[in-house]
Amino acid sequence: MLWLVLGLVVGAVFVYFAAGQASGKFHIRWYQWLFGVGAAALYLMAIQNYLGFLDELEPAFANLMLVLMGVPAVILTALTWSAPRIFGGKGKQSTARLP
Amino acid sequence: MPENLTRREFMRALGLTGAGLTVANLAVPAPVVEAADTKPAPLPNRYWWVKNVDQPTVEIDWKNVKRFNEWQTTRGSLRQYRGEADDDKFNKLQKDNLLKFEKENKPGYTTKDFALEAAVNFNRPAFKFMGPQTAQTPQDRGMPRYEGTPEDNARIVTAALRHMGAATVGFVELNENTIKLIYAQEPSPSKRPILFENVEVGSEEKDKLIVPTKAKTVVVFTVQMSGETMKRGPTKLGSLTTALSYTRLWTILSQAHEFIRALGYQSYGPSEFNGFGIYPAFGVMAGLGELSRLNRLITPEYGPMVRETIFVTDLPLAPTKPIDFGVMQFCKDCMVCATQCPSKSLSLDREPTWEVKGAWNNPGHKAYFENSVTCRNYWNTCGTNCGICFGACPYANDDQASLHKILKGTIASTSLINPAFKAGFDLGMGSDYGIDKPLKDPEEWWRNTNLPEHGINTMIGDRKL
Repeated sequence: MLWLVLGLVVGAVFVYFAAGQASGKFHIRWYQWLFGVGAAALYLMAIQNYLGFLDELEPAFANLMLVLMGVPAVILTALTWSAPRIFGGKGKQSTARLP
Repeated sequence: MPENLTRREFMRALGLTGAGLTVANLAVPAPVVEAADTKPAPLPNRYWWVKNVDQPTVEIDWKNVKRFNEWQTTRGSLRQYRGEADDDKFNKLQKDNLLKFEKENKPGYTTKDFALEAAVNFNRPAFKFMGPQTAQTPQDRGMPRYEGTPEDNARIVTAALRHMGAATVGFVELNENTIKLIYAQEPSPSKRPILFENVEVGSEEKDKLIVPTKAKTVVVFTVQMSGETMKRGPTKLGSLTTALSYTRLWTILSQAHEFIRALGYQSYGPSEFNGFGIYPAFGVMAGLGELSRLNRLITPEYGPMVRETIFVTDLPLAPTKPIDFGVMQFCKDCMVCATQCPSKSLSLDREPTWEVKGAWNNPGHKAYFENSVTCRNYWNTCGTNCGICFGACPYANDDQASLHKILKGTIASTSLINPAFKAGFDLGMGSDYGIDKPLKDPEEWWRNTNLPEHGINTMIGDRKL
């Protein structure tokens, strides 16, 4: 059930941004898609391994998974947002802003 | 059907057709399934990263392997190896410590822990060289014995043993090399020689055991052990892990003998504890796992959390091949079991060696030989069979977190990042784990009433219902 809900959430977020891109509402650059997909994969892995280790009755490893996979996921999310400003180029105004 | 069919008429006709087809299916007998399927045996799937290999990952010099006497192990000759005075001293220490720990209500040594161990030791079937011999054979009913291809037979024996509770099953053909893994003599005190003779039916005699040479396939199987209790070692709660596993193992062994008999064939196995052959060696040859720094089997599915046994049969069975999933390489870098061993009995050398540690080891293979005497001395000190090395092994996990499979798959493919995995494991375990104390709190185990039956997860290994 959890994975059905997570799948729906991930799918809805993807459709939201893909539709926004298609309608011209957002201008999302290719590397933002790359970072975004990477972040989503890391979030899902962090959740699966956190819950998996809890099932194995290994809470210390579960918490370690949150740190090892969750923190990079948050960093990649932040990078997805701010990448155009970082990589946008000197004096060139970025149009790649997400809402 | 009318030409101008309305939607309602169409749906009604569809319903009648469906019902008709259902009734027709009930009336027509199902196709008969052939008893002896000639297709190659679809043995249980292994993880994709488990590779079948022609030679096991442990190097074996067959010329220097001799049939070993079981009584030469520390199980049979400990008093000789450590001397009478030390033997008496350690036996007394064990008795005194167990009483002291119980009086102190030490976690893992409380009266309830003693009680559970006593309980799971109950009702073990007696060892019988030729099995219980109670099942009716096909010949008894005037029927011919079961006939199938070796592959088909391997499949049905695997299915049957797994249904009885075995975790993994493999088959080794006895040849001039592998026969050396059958003990020359049984455990003490009988020390009966195990002989292979050209006879129609084997026999158990007062001074010898006779196996017919036509019984040339060894069936080796494992049962899973509970990691949750093993990680409570070196306490009584930890030691009942093996106690319960042996009870299950020997029950399955008796049932396996009966299954083979009821197919119309013969089978011969241990007539005493640890009798007949070297189980980890057969496990390696059958591809159930790899030899490790523990000098025991590590399996891809359950890590070291297995007990094994064997029997031989004249039922033709297709042999299974040894496997390589990177464990022998990983053990070179890991060493967790050896560093956590309270008595420092496991090898801390990076490379395995041909040199044995003592007369309790069987030479002829390149392994991490252990000091069984210091190991046994510690067993007497803690009063149990310890098990810290098994519980500490990074492969002793339940595979619920996907990271396990990713790491195991990577370890099977390359040894370059083994040290990084080991560092990550140390980080997760924390700095205070192991050495002379349980990895997990024994009292916490008693608070958890939601553990699976027998404490094992039977779905590990991508098993499907």
